[in-house]
Amino acid sequence: MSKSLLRSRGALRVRLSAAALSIAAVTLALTACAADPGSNTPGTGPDGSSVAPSDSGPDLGLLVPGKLTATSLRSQVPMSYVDANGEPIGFAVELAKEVAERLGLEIEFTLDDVAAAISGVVTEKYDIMVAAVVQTEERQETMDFSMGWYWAPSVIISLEENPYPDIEDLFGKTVAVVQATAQEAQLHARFPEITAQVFADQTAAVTALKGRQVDAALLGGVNSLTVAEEEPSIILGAEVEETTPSGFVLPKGNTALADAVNAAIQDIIDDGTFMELWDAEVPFPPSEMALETFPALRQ
Amino acid sequence: MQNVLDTFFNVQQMLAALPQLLRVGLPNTLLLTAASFTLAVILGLLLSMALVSKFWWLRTPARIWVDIWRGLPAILSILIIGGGLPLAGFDVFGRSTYAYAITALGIINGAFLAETFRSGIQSVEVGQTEAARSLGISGAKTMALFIVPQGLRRVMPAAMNQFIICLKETALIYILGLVAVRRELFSIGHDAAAANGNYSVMVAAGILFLAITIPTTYLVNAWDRSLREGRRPRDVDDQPAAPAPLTKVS
Repeated sequence: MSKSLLRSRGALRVRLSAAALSIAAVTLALTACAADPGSNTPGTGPDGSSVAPSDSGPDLGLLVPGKLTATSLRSQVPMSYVDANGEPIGFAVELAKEVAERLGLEIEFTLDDVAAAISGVVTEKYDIMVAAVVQTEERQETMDFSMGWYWAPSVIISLEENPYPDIEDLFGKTVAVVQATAQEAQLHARFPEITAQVFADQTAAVTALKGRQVDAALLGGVNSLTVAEEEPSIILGAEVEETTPSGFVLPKGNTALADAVNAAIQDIIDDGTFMELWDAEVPFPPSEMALETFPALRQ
Repeated sequence: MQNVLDTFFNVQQMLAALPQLLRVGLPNTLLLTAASFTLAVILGLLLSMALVSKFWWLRTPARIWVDIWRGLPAILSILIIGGGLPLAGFDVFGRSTYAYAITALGIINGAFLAETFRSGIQSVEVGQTEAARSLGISGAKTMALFIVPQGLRRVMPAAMNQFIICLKETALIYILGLVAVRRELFSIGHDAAAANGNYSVMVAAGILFLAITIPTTYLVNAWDRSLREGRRPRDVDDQPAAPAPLTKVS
């Protein structure tokens, strides 16, 4: 704007309206970005009209009929994580896609973190949480689970200069775990003699171990392997057996969906697709607990 | 609507978590806030004097320090100090997560307070400095006895604003990893959310935050009012005598 315009009597009004216009423009731009592109209203189609449930099967109580509205995680390797483009990958993701196909449904993923994803299923923002989530008693009060299809192996990692090979060595010591993992649930439920220090993510936990702020860390099997490979100062200890299964999270009380999903998973196990997907995605064999529960997995 | 109430205002969950929040979370939060704010005030005072100093070798390092710690996101600063220092071999505080957290929060808020105090000091009218210097009082004493006290009093409300910010920033220390007895208010809420898929305990923690910040705000406003309005005027006897008439100097 020219100097004379800024100095003239109407200058204040001009400046105020310029400010108001720019605020309005920014607000509009932000609203457009934040607007939800898809419709998640139950019982309505994308154009807002009512859609009857698919008549090729029972009403599964889905948020959008014909589609599984799913959420997955960013870094739960090898179950539910993202590739370099941010697309969901992992065994849980592949299993969920297979389940959706068998049920004749589309599936759409939204990435989220653990707390928000679990909360999203409970509040009917999602139909299903696609990840390996430990079925603790506390959780079973507010949500349902699919049948357990995974028993998460946990492996101790510690510093080479101060090793702790077995879980009993760690009684009275401080062990790092990541929030909302099977390992945190394990320490809490089975090893109260160990002081658990809970970290928001794995990087923070491993940093603390390297900085000698904790005595050891308890991570998921694959994660421990990767960390031990990448960090010369860290060595692997014993595997700690898991007894509580992990599975998908489902909304509480939706027995139709749970039954359909479980039937599909059982089919997938029985006809061998489960092991195919497992071999493709998971670098270690199914645990003893899995083989006992699903004899069909024994090849 | 029912969904919102269930997710954010589930009274049952809030009441179940209340003992933990009051016995573990609240004392920890208050301890963190008090300790880090004290450190912040000390650092802020020292830095603000350096910032207005006439010596460039005091001013410039102080400027750089303040710019960095004001500019970095608080959570990153906490990670650098609490995670990075031990990793680099400087485990100055051994295993004490809180010591690192308090240091980090003190440094961050100290940088902000440095600017607040600096603006207060620089707002004192230059006539004050001139009057003091013309009476033969040294530069350093002028600052210490006249300028800084006046300047600080002016910005006390702004400084107390920083106290409230410091209180809320204690929610970020979870990134350093907490054992059960060292959880502050927010991390108790976050743990419950990850376990139950319900945010009610976080809302309860938020209510406790409000219970600290709102009374603090009112106290600070009352203090500010009393500073500005001074004591109530007394009656006639204390009024100053009429000024002496001007006499000509021959």
